[in-house]
Amino acid sequence: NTLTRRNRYIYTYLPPPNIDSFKTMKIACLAIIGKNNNPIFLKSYNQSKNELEGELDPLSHHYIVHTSLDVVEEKINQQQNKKVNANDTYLGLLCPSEEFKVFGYVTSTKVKLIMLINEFEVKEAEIKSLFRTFYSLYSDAICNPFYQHNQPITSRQFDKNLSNFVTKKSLE
Amino acid sequence: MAAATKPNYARVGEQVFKEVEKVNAELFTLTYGAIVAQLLRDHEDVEAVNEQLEKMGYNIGLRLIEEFLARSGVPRCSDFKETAEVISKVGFKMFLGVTASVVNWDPKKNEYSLILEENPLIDFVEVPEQYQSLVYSNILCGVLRGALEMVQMSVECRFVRDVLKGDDASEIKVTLKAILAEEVPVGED
Repeated sequence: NTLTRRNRYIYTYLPPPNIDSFKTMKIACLAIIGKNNNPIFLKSYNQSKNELEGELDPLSHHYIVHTSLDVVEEKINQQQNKKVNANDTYLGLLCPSEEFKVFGYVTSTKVKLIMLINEFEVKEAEIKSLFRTFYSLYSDAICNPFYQHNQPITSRQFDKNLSNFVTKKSLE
Repeated sequence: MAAATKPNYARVGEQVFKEVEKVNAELFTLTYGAIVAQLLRDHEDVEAVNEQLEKMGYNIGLRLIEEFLARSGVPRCSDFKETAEVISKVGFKMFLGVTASVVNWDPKKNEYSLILEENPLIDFVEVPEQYQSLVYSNILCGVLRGALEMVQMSVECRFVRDVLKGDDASEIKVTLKAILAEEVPVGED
């Protein structure tokens, strides 16, 4: 019966929920926090068109970043106590929430870079390389002579560079 | 083919660029950025800053021309049009590490345009909204004016297109105002 066959075909074409849609960005959110824990930049990239997945809205990304800052503080203190001589501290996995893994990286200028990753299997080396690129894009943005230090970054170029970076990394 | 008698300026430019001492590009960009930012803090008016940048460039140009002539060994140009080639291929290459292209040569008005695809002064720079009328690289106009005045040409230079304002390339229009008679230049103001 052709009608039943066609229905069956349409039914299985819809991707079932809870499987990573190809349009989901691997990097869900990038944040930069200043040395006084002031927000410098935060942007969510999860623009999945798949309505079936329970999308977290950008505000919950803010919450996650905020709570991860406590973990950052803790880790920084731990490292100070051990007298670690690392220049830029890669903080590693901060707190795995339900949807994401949160990674942190603090620089010698006490600027914290936070990344929310959407994949379950990620290699540490890959995350480190992502942070290196993220950090170099950030340093390009603050080279702007009109940028006031410790203020939120409003540069459109920086926004564009990061979006390209996120898109490129999601396709790999 | 005029190329046989006229030296290949692009090659001269490459040669001089290889020999001349280099400075770190980021240091250069950041230094210039600091100057512009400071000028904006000191002066209320953006037009005044544009003028200051041009004057600074003028003073640099007066001195830069000697360095240029000494290092490049380029012979005297036969006409104004040839100075355009020398400036774009040898001058810009030697001091900024980039070449410019010469377009829109107008023999009646004695003017041409220099197109800069790349400009090391503006790396990483984004001009905020309140300074939209700032001509960020105006120092270059001053340098051209000062340098050409020392070889007896009075020119007027201005930016007609600017990458920082959203255009795809920067364009400087250079117009010859007068050929100066050979005389001792008056003191600068």
